[in-house]
Amino acid sequence: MFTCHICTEKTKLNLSFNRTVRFGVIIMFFWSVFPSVYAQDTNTVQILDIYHKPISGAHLQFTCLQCKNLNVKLFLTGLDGKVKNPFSGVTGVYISCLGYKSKFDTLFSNRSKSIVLKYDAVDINEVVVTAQYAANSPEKAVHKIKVIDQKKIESLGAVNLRDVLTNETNVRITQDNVLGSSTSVQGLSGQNVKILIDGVPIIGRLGGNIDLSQINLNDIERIEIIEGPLSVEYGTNALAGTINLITKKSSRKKYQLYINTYYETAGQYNIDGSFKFNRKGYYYALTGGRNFFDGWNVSDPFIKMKTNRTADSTRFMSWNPKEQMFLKGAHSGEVFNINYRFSSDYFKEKITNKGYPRAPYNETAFDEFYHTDRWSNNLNLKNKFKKGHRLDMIFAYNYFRRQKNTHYIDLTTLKSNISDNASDQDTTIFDFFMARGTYSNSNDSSKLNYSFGYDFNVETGYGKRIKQKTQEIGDYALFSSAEYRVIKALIIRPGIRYSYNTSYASPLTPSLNLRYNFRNYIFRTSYSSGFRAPSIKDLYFDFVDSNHDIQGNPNLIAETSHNFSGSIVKTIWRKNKVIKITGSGFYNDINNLITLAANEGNSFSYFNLDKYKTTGAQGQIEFVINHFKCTFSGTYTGRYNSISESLSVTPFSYSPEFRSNFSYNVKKYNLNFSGFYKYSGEIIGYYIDDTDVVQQNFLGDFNTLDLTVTKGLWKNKIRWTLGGKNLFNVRNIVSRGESGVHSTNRGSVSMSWGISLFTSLKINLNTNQIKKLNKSKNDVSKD
Amino acid sequence: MMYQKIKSLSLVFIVLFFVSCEKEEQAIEKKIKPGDELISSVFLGSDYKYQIFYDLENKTEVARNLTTDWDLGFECGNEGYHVKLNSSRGLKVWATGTTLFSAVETIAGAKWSWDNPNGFLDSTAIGKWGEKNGNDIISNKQVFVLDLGYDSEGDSKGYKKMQIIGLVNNEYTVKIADLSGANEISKVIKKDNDYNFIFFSIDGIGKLVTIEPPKEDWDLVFTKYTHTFYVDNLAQSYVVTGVLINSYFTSVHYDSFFGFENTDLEIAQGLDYTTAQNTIGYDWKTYDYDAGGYIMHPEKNYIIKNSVGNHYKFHLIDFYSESGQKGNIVFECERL
Repeated sequence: MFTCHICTEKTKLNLSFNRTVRFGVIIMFFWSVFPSVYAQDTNTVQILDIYHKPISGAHLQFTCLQCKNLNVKLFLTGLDGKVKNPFSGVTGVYISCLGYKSKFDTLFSNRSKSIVLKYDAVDINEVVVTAQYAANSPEKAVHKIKVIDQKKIESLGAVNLRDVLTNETNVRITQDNVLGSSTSVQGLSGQNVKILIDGVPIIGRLGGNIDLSQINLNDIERIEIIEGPLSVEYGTNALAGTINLITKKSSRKKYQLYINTYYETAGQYNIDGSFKFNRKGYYYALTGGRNFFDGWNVSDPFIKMKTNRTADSTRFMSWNPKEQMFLKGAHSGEVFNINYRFSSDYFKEKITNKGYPRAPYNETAFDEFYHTDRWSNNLNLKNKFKKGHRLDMIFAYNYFRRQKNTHYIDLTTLKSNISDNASDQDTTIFDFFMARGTYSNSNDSSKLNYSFGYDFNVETGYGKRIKQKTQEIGDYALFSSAEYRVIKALIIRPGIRYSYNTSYASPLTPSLNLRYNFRNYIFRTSYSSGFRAPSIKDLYFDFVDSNHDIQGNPNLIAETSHNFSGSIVKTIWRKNKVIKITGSGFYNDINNLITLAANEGNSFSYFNLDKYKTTGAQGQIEFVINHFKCTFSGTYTGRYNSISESLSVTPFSYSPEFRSNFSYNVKKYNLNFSGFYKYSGEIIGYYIDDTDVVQQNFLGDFNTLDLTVTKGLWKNKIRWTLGGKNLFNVRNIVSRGESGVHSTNRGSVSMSWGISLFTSLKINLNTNQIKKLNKSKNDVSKD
Repeated sequence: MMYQKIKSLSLVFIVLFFVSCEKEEQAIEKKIKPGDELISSVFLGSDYKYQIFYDLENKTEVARNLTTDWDLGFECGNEGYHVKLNSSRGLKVWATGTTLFSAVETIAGAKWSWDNPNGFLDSTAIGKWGEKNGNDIISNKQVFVLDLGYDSEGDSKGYKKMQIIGLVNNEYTVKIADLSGANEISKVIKKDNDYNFIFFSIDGIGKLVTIEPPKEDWDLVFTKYTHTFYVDNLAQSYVVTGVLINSYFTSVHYDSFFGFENTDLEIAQGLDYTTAQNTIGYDWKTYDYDAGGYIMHPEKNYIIKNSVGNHYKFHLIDFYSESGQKGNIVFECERL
């Protein structure tokens, strides 16, 4: 249940106000279109939010419409959101509560009524589902959940997940010309980050990482990020953090046509669109698009015009040209009281890596083409039983294929041949079946809520360098958790996961979360265990030739971690003003880290060898004042130096990060200004050089700043965004290591293509909202 | 209505602006002429599986064999007694220090060594294996363990143990078996003075094979061979692909000063020559990540003096066939 933190001050009550109430009530007497459900208690009003959860502390002002004298009474809703109507006969009621739109309604004699309040512009229109029993507000969740909503995605001009995460604290992005973008969370590498779409893991990890730039946001409603392990709920890889992308589920319009275009001066041309409609209670959606990037080089002019390129050294790009195409169909509806939703999503990418002309004659070159295909199918069934009981099942089949082709091209004739060398052509395939189901019982009024479920995954890998060319791993897990409300303000949530794995001994994974709220403080603390299963590559890699001998180790066990996290949130609510102050900290301790190490002779294999730790603290202040929103946050993350175990080196190297965002909405002109700034501090590491001396290496610091402005036109049917990205023009980050006494070696790590401008145009054409008949259905399918 | 239509139409145009595609490339002009009579090439096959022997005088390939055709080479010549390893497959040897053949059963504690890539016979891995007695050798009977390297598929060929029984009257006697003692063979290997080495293949019951052509018939061999790299001051063997010379009769000068174009006989006659077999070596090409393949260093110029005292200038200009297959070594060579 939502708590209305501060209600309208009593002084607001005055006569003129009541007259308005009376006038409004009379109109509504004849014309009442607000969705309302009649409850069983007599003459009671229940105030609910749009997810049908009771709102406590809402301010209700009852006006007797049949009394001879003006008779007004004021009440606050209780925990169940209910208030008894003090009058019999026709009564007008004015409901107000901060965070919600105020509303008039009319009550009839001795009947009860539920009234739904919509969220106000003051942006707390947030809902989360990751690791929750039912759709929940992030404030109320036992976990600390960060939400990136559509508004932020729009004002960032973000096309894919990489664009969004660049601005997050505690998250670092690294870039590879061929493998794509990967992320680290809480100082832990990307192989420990679980990325889900509607709760289904994304497959296709290359070198442990998922290419973030392959995850398009065109059909994404919001992104939920939880730092720290969620291994009880989501199993392997959910060790450093979980990123759950929630797709757009429904449209309340009868027909909706949406076109989104994007141009960036670096050479990005994107277009995508969707057509969605509702028919007889069933929902259909078709989404598709194409993203094209024509490559970028330091020598490129700021704005490139269509020109033919000579096949000389300019053919080589530091950022490869890339074309992505995607198509998705979705359908949802209801049969036998079960809400079902099916979606099928196909994605295709081609990266062209044109080789630098071969020295010294520059007449031939090797061109590499990387083709990635992703196909995800997802069937989701939901059933709501009696109050609070729900069953949620997902069946998913994901397919991933990556093919590398190398062509040898004669630049004097442009004749190209597929090269004959065996190592130049390669295909890797992964496919993945998942069946996951949870049964949960959650009621805000009950002392004990719980959930239990199963999670069955079978992943098959195929590739030249996998033992016997193909290997399969099955993982069959059961998990359960409960939220026990010890006292009204204190919830503890223990959870456990047991799994049987066909390839390695998987660990028993426990977690314990605690949430306590005291006045306007929320305290959260947790211990959770996380794990990363050895991948197919770790277990079954097979790369042996005259110069290499690297083999997987089928006896590996999972990497396990202990995570301790804590946070305090204080929210100060004033009229038109919200200030939220957050302080948090974490500590990760990972054991049995899977490491490539020398075996006997010249051979290498994977072993559970190393330890790794990270720790950090974060502070954040968020202001919302009318239509101005502003965030400042700073983090301090420590990364473990494993050589400190044997040598006198500081155990943790700390690196700061600072972030500030603002957004300002000028309602009068339908304009929105946003700014996103982030400073990523220097990262220091230690290594032992040739002469057995401990040396430091550094990865330089950098600043990123994006500024955008969005204008709504034609009744918001068109939203036009203009912006500048990477205004500090960061291209490469300096990395340097000290070797020997006097010499330093300098290198650089590719980060971005530097400063660029972008514009995006979103066209949203739709027919009017469909009648309330279907509306309740859509509400259900939203969670 | 009209206004609406214009609006919609203009939207369509705006949307089309967001479509682009990859631009066509334009060919560059060709600089070197094809069919130049100085240019020759040899192709080592996929996985560089061949060793190709080449004669500069006649500009021809004189012999070729698979790298898997042999394991050991036994030195001919009256005073010769050295045994070399097939470095094209990365053969390595462990001198166990024991003389009891049956006592060696595992490779536990093995310390591997391999022939020096310069090919000097005082630097072989097996080394001096006995005492000289005239032209004969009285063996110290040390047991050697051979790591037979990898076949062309990259699969390990396993291990064998070997004892050189002796060298009497130009005949070597060797005993070779699996580490378990199974498949023991004993072979007599007779020197032939027309050749530098007599080659032996351990496979099966063991056999003598002809690998190198007669010693005065060849100058260069294009092949894989084992190079020694130093990583953290530790020697590491690594199989590279390159050009070795017939050190008995051919010598080379590496030139980075005059260059291929300018080198003439006068210059060539004033140079010092070495018989280190890997002087040309493998580093006339380097792997370039931006190019995604090997790039050439034709500025590395080699002047070769053959058995009859002729001088040749030689440099390597490509490593790929027209279809992009690697191991196609293209070179320019001119007699001075």
